[in-house]
Amino acid sequence: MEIYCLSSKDYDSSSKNDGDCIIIVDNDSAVIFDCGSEEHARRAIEILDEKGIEEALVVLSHNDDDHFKGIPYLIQEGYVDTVFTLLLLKYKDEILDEIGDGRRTRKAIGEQIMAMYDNIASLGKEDVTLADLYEDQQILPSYLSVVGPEKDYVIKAAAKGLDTEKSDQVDSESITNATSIQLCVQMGTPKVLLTGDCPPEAIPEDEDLSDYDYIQLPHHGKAASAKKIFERVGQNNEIIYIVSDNTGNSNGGSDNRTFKGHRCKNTRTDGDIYLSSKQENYRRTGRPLCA
Amino acid sequence: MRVLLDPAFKTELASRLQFLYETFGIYFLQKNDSTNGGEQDALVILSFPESYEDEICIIFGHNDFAARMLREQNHYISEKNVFIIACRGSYGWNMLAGKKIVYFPKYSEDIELTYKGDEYGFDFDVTDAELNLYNDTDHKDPYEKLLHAFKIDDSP
Repeated sequence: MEIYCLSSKDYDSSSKNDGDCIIIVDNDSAVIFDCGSEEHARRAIEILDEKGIEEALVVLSHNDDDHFKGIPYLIQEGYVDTVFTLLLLKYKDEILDEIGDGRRTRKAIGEQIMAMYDNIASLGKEDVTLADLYEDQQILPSYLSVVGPEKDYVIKAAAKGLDTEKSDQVDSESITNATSIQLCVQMGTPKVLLTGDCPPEAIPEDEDLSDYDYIQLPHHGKAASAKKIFERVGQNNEIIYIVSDNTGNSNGGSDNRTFKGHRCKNTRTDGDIYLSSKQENYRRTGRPLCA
Repeated sequence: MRVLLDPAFKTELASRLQFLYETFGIYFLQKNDSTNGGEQDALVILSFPESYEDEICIIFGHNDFAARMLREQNHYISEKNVFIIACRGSYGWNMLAGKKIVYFPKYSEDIELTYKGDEYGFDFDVTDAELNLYNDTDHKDPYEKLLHAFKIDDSP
């Protein structure tokens, strides 16, 4: 199995926000986790063509442009027929109950959801099947599993976001970021956690982060989130942190920040990040401290 | 606090002084004279002020260096608590240390592997104990910080 975390470092328009694009290739199948620009989409297609893969499943972590903008292109080029994401509209009754002010209608909540999750809503017009985070997990290949967010967290977050009398932030992130899908990729022995833009608090408490070999630092390496992830991991120094930052400081981002003391690979500075289940010696890389 | 650094790591001295400063939030300086006046014995690094945690000595280096410090220079080690980062954690270090309390990383294997420093932002290859020290934001007290980094729950 291989994972490509694309960098826009060498793209022509470096000021543009290309966002994330992580491609997981396993023999003759592939999953694309987010695709934030057409440039990323074109490169993803190149990788699929090179591997002889005709169609990939897209997992869209959340609604934001820098995770979404390349997906319509992938669909139009015929490389994607299913997008797996959070279809919040399915849960409008539960959200309505959570808000519980007795003044909203199902219709109004539905319209609000459509507006807040506009990119996902727009996929309804595309020639693509939409699969839901909670109802359709069986479509995921065996090497992928959903880590979070838990449905209860999503309902509460969405209710807060849709309730105009409350803050539109959850755990210091926007509602759409907070509801980012977190995936575990089992690459043979190594385990990878993909996080989108989720706040660390959205990762279920019983998830042992120190058990992972690679962790994508949420929200493009946002400092406050990285700190919480490091604290939660504790003393496992072998983990390699992936920073998918093609964004800059305007949105999360890792500009002007160092992750000294932690092993990080950053698309902003290191270019594409390539992981393979065949890679060896990814743990202790230094010399022994022996005479 | 005093650090006895194996001269084999002399080229890393400046980076290690910076590491100590960033870890403990206090300056460390190389003292000109070594444990017994011979430069070959150890690079002696002292906290500034010297009175800072003066019951702690850290020995860093190859296992033969650490053994030599305890065996031959023991009388120069006046600190009560000696933290050792070296290979051969299962060796009978306490026998050499006399009445001092010797701490070895609890998880240390006989061969202490390191991580490439540049991957972690350092200019020297770094051990688990050092990374644990550097990344610990929970403990302010240096002694507790060291125990935590060495994964030692209670003092013996």
